[in-house]
Amino acid sequence: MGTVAELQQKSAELRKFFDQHLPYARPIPVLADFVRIQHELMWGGVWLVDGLDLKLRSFATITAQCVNGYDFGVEHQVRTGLTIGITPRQIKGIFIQLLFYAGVPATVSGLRIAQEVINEREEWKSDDVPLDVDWLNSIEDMLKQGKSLRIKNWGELADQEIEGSLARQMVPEAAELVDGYHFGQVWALADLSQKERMVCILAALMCRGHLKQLKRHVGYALEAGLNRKEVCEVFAQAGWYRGWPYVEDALEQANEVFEERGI
Amino acid sequence: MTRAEDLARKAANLHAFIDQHVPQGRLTGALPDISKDYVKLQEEVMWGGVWQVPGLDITLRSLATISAQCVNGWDFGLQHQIRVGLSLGMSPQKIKGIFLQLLFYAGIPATVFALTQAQKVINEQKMWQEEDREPLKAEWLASVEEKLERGRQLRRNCWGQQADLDLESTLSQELTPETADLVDAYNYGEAWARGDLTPKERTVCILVALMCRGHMRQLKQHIGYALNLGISQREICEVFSQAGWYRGWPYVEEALEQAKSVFEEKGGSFGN
Repeated sequence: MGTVAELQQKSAELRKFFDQHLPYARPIPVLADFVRIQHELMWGGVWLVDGLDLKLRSFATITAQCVNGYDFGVEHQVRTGLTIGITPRQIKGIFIQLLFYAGVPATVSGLRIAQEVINEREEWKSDDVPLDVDWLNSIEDMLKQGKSLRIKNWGELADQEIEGSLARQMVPEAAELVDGYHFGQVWALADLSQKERMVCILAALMCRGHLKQLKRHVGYALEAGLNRKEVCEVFAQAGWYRGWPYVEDALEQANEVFEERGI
Repeated sequence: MTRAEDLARKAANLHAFIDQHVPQGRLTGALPDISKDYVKLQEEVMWGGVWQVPGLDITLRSLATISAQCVNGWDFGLQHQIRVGLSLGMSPQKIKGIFLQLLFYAGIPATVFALTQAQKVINEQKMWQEEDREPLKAEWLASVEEKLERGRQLRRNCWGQQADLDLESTLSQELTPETADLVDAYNYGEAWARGDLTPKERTVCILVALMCRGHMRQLKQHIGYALNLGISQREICEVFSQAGWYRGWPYVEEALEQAKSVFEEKGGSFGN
């Protein structure tokens, strides 16, 4: 695993990379020991573990911060994401995707903070262009498009499970609105890849403790092209920003799926 | 029969005690005048009642409450309870130690937020500020391997052989080993080795964090570790019931269900 000096050096390098893009004052340290631990552990350690791309780590972290709901945390991680090359549109895309997993207030708060951070820099502001969107006119069209996207990305079984959900049976009007706008409209936006959406969804379900639904979505993630290691690393990354016990809970679900599939 | 006026009197006594250390009278004035009914209820139930139930030391009640507030994440709640903790005689370093310990159970943002709130409160009083400047004895180890080794020893000594075996063979050790090693090294090998909190205090914080986030399977394991450390059944139950007031009572029922099954498995009679 290496020495602390190595972790510190790796941390300093990564932070130097961020800092050239971050001409702002870092927050005042309130506990020097914590800052030290955090540098070694996070920037020297966790963020650089093999098996998950740095940008996808950033997607997972922004999602966890969105669920946590601390302004300073969302702000810091949005800035980190923009610095490593996630576009302003993609950042906003994360919060729009999370609408269906974390709720309206989390999305609104995330978007509001994202806009403030984007406005800090000219190059981010000029990148913040509206998407060319083909908005569908009827819920029926959205449901139809959503179904085909869902089958394409998550497979037949996922489609059956979602169509057979309790929400579809017991609150059908609302469930159709969710599914229509989520799968039919938001998924058709070009800002995020399916893999990126999946990282956000897995992190959101883990961070809120929806373990039954998380298990199903681990299966969908594998269908969508994430590998076993990536799924586990998404949890390990997001867990630092939400609490490690969530990782153990999530891995228990993931492991069952891996065993069922023999991978 | 316990009469409401007795509770109100006990609340006033406790307030008077805490207020001696808060000359500005911040504690009694901490709650804005938002609802007289609520204030009356809270005085009787909490300060006159729950905080003074026998079976758990008041400082440990404060630790449990601060941990619950850290998970909740409200600035007013954290500041208020940090002030209570300091007034009860906890050192600023102990307060910060709670949040450093919770890093591994509630995540980085909760720790950063709570440390920021703690610093604000500590800066309110000269006495607290001065105590805060005293350096803490901490021996930083130079490699992750050494931290892991020291951590295992501490864990085994405090929580027992079985805890060490459980925690060596978690799914995170199997599926995300690099990160799991970092968690274990910095939690048990570094945070635990600091002199700011006792193992008993750490275990109370951990039980509360696991309860307040609803991690019941892991809570059950940790109830066993708490017993191994010498925390009594009564204390464990009181930790849950104290923290539950600050997170929601249904969490208490769930946590006690886990506790009961551990107590029964261990075969001891409940209540000791």
